Formats: sequence, structure tokens, C-alpha cells
Amino acid sequence: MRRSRAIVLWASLSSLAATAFAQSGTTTVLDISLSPSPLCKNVSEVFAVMLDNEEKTMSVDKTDPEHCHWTLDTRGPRFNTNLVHFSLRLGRARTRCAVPHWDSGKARIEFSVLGSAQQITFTADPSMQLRYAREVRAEEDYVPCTETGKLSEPLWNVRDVDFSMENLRLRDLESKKDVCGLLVNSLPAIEKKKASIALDPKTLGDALSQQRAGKDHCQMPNLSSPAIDITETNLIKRGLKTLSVTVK
Amino acid sequence: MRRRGLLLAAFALLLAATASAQQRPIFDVDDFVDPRQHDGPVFISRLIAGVARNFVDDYRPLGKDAGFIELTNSFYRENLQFDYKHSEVRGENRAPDPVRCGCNPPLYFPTPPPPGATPAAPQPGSRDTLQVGFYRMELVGPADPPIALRTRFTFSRQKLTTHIRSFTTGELVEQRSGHDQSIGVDADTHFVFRGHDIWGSLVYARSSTSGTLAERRTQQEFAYVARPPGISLWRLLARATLTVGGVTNRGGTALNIVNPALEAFWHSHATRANVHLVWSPLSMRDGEGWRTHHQIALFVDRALYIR
Repeated sequence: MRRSRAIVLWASLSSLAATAFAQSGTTTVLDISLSPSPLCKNVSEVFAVMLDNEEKTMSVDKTDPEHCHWTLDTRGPRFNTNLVHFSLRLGRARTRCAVPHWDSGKARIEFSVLGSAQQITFTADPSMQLRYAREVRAEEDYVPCTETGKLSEPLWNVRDVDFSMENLRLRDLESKKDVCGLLVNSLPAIEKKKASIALDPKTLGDALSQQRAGKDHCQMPNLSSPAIDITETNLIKRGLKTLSVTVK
Repeated sequence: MRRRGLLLAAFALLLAATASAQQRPIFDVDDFVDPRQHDGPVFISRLIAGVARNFVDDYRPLGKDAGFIELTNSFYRENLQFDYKHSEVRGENRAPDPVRCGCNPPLYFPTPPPPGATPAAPQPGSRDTLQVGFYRMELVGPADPPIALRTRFTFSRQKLTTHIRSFTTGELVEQRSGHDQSIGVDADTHFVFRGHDIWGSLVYARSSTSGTLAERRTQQEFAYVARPPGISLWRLLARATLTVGGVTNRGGTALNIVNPALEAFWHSHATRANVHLVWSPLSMRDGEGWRTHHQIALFVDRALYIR
């Protein structure tokens, strides 16, 4: 009796494992379907981000725009459908992050086109490299992801930012391990949807203090005097005179 | 995650209901520094000065206003924080020395509060405090950066000397020496309840006092401090906290401390000083029932040296 149960269990596990492996595949081509139908037809340009790497966005080709089908050819790097996730930049919108599935010998992925996005431009004076992270939470079939990139000459733009679904942070602002950085979402100019804001070390320091007081949930809410002193020292050391943020 | 949050909330409430907080002096500034904010070690020396109305020392009302000054030296290295703090507190008027009659057994005036009543605060004076804290990172979600929380151990000590004079002649007839000392730990907590971050600290401390008219007296404090996110009004930051807990030897073991507090904070870029205004209505219960002490403090802090 016990032996037959073990055999049944082993058979079930083997079958599950076989199914799982059968559902994955390695390829360079991804078949993309956008929805909902009338809205997705307006999309004219698509860029894909693979494995959170915003530094290497890939252009996606139109296959059948009438039916909202697009095709990504990585033109080099192969990916396993079980080990990667993608998100798209759609011009005036972005998608969440999703894992592709293997179907009839093809890697396929579906995204819905919802919300609206803004183009955020950062300009640092003096010019210096800025690192950023885009934190997107999981929802329904979508997976959580933290997409990272860096801004330097000549590109200072973070493409298609949807503040309703993501947190945008300028990282490494105060130190090399500063993952909390400046939460761009909490800047008053962003909250008021103002077109442009210039932050000098004082206003940047104020923004970071407000963030620590409770606008961000990266650390215990605090009104810490030493944290303000360290921020001022760090910003002076970094030599940042102004950081302009433009929202379009 | 939610279940864990509920369990933590229940645990915190249970602790608060059965026991009791080493209350930070009202002028002890928030010195939380996320270790990710600095690459190397940081040393900061800071001066704090101000006044408090209805000063309360560790849940023991002084019964008068006080002025204070504190020098803090904090060293932050990686996930560790070390502090040495020296404070000087002075009451508005120095209380006269207690007196003893020549009778047998001797009687003392003023009579110290009986056991079970809220004890009087020790005479304000010099206090030294040593603290060791360590920061831990807690993962909250795959797309979120880890959050920094601190656990800190505190030891503070104030030397006490009581001069007792003769009721009739006013001569010094007796001198008692001792300490008011406290050892405690406070640990930041975080959990998520219905999608909302619940921030707080669990605080435990044991304080003992000797060298006063009263018998050597100890109290244990256990409390939960809720720390909801603050708000900003232009450049003014404000936050509220709520402490609930219990202090032993107050004529009961149930919850006997309820202490909401509201702090307004303003940083001056020109002087690099920080101005604090704190209102802290402290409700305490002892054998005689609940009483509220409205403690209000206005103080300024400024870093003297940063490296």
C-alpha cells in the first residue's frame, strides 16, 4: 500500500517536472501581444527591457499592428522563458513586468496597455553620472521588478515613467550603497505635476529630510538631526550644485 | 506577511498590556542614521539646549519647569552606532534640602511618596549615558529596497546626593549618596497591516534609585511606541508618536502609561541648527488614579563637529 502510494507520488512529481520543463524554451525571439484592443492599436513604437536592464533597451518590430502583435528579436542574447522577465516602453505608457511562456515552439508574452507615462529629464550641474532604479510592484499576473539604469552624457532622460505604478529613485546619491536615494515620486513638483524643478543642495536636503520623515518607507520614519548633517556633508562632498528635474 | 504583521501587533499589545519604556528625555534628539547613508565611519558631536515646562524624568514628574543642556558624541560605523551623552538639567528653583526631626524614630519632611505611588523625580543634575545600537535590514518586498531598523542598548547614570538638615537648627545632620541609573533596550519594529506600514519601537528598561529619602526603589518599564510617518508643511516637519505601556511599582501591573507626543522640527540652512517644539501630554495611573502632565519643550540642537 505504502509502496504504491510512493510510486504514484513519484509519477506525479515526474509528470509535473516534465510539464514544467516542456513549458520553457530558449530563444532570441519573443512574440508580444498587447491589449485591450482599440487602445493597443495606437501604439506606434515599442522598446523592451529584459531582466531589469534599462541601460540596454531593445527596439521591438511591428508584426501585425492591426492585431496588436509585435516581435522582439534580441539579435544575440538568447533567453530561457522561465528565467527572464520583460517590460515595455510604449511612448506615452509603460507596462508592468511579466514572464514569457513557451507555447507551440515560441516565446510569447501578453501585456495590457493602461495608464499614462511621463518623460523625466534630469540635468546635473556639474554634469555627473546618475544611477536610477524603477521599482514596480507585482499585480495579478505581473511580477515585481526593480529596473536599473544610469544617466550620463548625452542621455539624461528616463523614458515612460508611470508614477501610479512605479517608484523612481535616484540611487547612490549620498553614498555607494544608498539604495534609498532620492524618491522622485515624493518631490513636491512631481506631486503637483509641475513641469520643472531645480534642486540645489538645500532643497535637495529638504526633500531627503521629508522623505526620511515618512514620505518613503525605506527606513524608520525619523526627524534625525545627524541624518540632515550627514546629507549636507555628502552633498557638499559630491559637488552637486543643482539637479534639475523636468517632467513632460 | 499579513499574518506575521497581525502576530507582531498582538505581541506588541500583549507586552504593552502586561508590563511597560525607558523614556528618552524629551530633549534627546532623534539620531537615527541609515547605514546606507554613509560610506565610511562618521563622528558627530552635538550640543542641545533648551527649556521644558512640567519636566518629566523617566515617567517621574519633577513638578516644575527645567532648563537643560546636553552634549552628545555619536560614532556611526557600518551597521553600528555608539553614543556618549552628558546632560545637565536644572529646575527653575532648587528645592530646599529635606529635614529630619530629632524624634525617635526620626521623621523626614517632605515625606517621600509611599510604594505604589508615582515616585518623585530625582533632583535634576548631571547624567551620563552610553548607548550602543545596531541597524538591521528587513526585506519587505521583491521590488522594494530593504528597510533599516535599529536596536539600541542604553545605560544611563546620575549621581545623587541628599543632604538632610535638622528641623530645628538647619544643620547638616545626615548625607545620603547613591545613583539614579537605568539600563534598557529599544528595538524598532515594522509590519504591514492592510497594506499600511506600521512603524514602532518596543522599549524595555529597568531603573533604580538610591541615595534619596525614599527606600531604594526600582521600576521596570515596558512600552510600545507607535511612530506613524510624519508630515511636512513647507519646510516644517511634524510627527506624532504614541507610547502605551506599563511601569511597575505604581500600584498595579496593567497598562498605566499613555503618552501621545507631537513634535515640530525646523532646520535652518543658514545656521545649520535644528529647532524642536515638543508637546507631550503624559497620562499615568497609580494607586490614586489617572493624572496627566503636559510636558512642553523648546530646544535647539546643532552639530559642533562632523567628521
